[in-house]
Amino acid sequence: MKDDLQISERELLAMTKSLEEMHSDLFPRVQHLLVGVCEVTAGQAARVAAVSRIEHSRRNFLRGGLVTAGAIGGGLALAGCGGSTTSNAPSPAIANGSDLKMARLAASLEVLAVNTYSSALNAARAGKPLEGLIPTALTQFATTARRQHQDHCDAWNAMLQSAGQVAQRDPDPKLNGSVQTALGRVRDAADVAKLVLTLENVALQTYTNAASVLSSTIAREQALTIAPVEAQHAAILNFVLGQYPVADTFVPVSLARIPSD
Amino acid sequence: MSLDDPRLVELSEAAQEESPERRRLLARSLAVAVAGAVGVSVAALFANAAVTTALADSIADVAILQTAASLENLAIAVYSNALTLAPSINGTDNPFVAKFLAMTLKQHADHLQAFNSAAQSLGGQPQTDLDHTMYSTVVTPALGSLKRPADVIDLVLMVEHITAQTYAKFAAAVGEVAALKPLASIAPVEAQHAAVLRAMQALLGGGAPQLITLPPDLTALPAAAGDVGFRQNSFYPTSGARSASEGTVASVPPRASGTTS
Repeated sequence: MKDDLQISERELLAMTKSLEEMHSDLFPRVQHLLVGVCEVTAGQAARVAAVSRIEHSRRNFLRGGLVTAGAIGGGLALAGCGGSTTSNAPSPAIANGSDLKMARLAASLEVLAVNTYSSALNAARAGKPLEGLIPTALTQFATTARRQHQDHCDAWNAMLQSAGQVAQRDPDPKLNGSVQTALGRVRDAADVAKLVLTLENVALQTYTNAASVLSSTIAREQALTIAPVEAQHAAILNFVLGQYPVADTFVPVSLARIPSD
Repeated sequence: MSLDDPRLVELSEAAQEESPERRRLLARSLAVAVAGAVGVSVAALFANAAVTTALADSIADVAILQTAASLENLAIAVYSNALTLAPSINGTDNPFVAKFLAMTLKQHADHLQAFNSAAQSLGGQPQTDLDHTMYSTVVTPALGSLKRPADVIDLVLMVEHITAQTYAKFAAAVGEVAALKPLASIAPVEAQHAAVLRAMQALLGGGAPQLITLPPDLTALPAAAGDVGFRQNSFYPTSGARSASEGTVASVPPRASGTTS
């Protein structure tokens, strides 16, 4: 029996590497889903607690006999209470139609990013136009960034499919044409970095802007935990291009894509 | 009912003893009660669950924004202290490190102002103190071991990673757009700080501090430098987020001796 299990160190290392790759690929998505489920519950609990505190105050208030104070003028009372007209609390429910449109847009941006990184990495292979022109650090960057964009795409598509919709497999049609044109003109590492930096900034700003309009907790959390990763991609690309990596104190939204574009 | 009514006096006195948010709630109740004396339906007002929820959102959001501001105060304290250390310890003999520490300090000051402005726009007080819970548990233990640039980078990286996680989590929990926007647009910036610090940490650890420069020597950068700043997660984690209540104005204890802001 012992002999049956004997493997060489080389084989063991190969198996370990394979396991690590599987873990690296699968675990982030599983972990993200689990964390999402746990945090939705915690978030709901916090909001329920806050509402409960208000309700408690209300009961005390009513016990004071003030319920007898008035009879008409609800509109004036509402104004006096100052209830927010800009409240945008996320619902714990599954993403609604509006959220699903944003999910599809997000997935299309992620498809575009994956395709663009793939094209750049292919162009850097032996016998291709960019062979020898892409530094190893940038190749490593593009490989990891592409994998993370695929994870993001899978997450948005999982949301679409859980709502009974088909997954988004095509890139954002509004940007795809200009990206393909730009890819045809890429001549060196800086051209590649500039192109994918634009895509990273569009994605980052789209998610930052979307956080204010997404209504479901799960969709909002997904956008809010993807945006920092796109921001990190952009920071490293700025550094690669010789630009200060954290130039913006606040993420702008002027490049944000919206579903109605 | 007159303004001398004992019930109103009691309510007013109670308001003086409560926390700022509770005071604001009770003050609003008082205003409504006065309105009731001229014929406003208080019962109708308080039966409005939407208003109750919106008010709970506002109160909870003020606490969240104050805690965010307390984290910015902490970050400002940490960076300010780091900049007072000798260049051989804080690494500022490297021009990029010097610029990064100074720029990041300024960005945290701008973030502080944004969070406090948002808290005030929702009726809360600005937070001028730091998060003492995090300071004593995270910062203080590290202060004694700051002996070289890598130590300083480890410390500020920890602060950046925690703040990014915290803001991403808070942004998913708030109900008011006025609270969500600064949180959503600042969390990615803190994540960018963390990515750049991780890259610096790796180059220092690899004995290549000369590669921490702008523009970088792309041909000399090791492959791992390309993704070390962000490869850990496809989705930014939030498990290291601080508690929403630990930096509220009411809950911040008197400054402990030995801490600075």
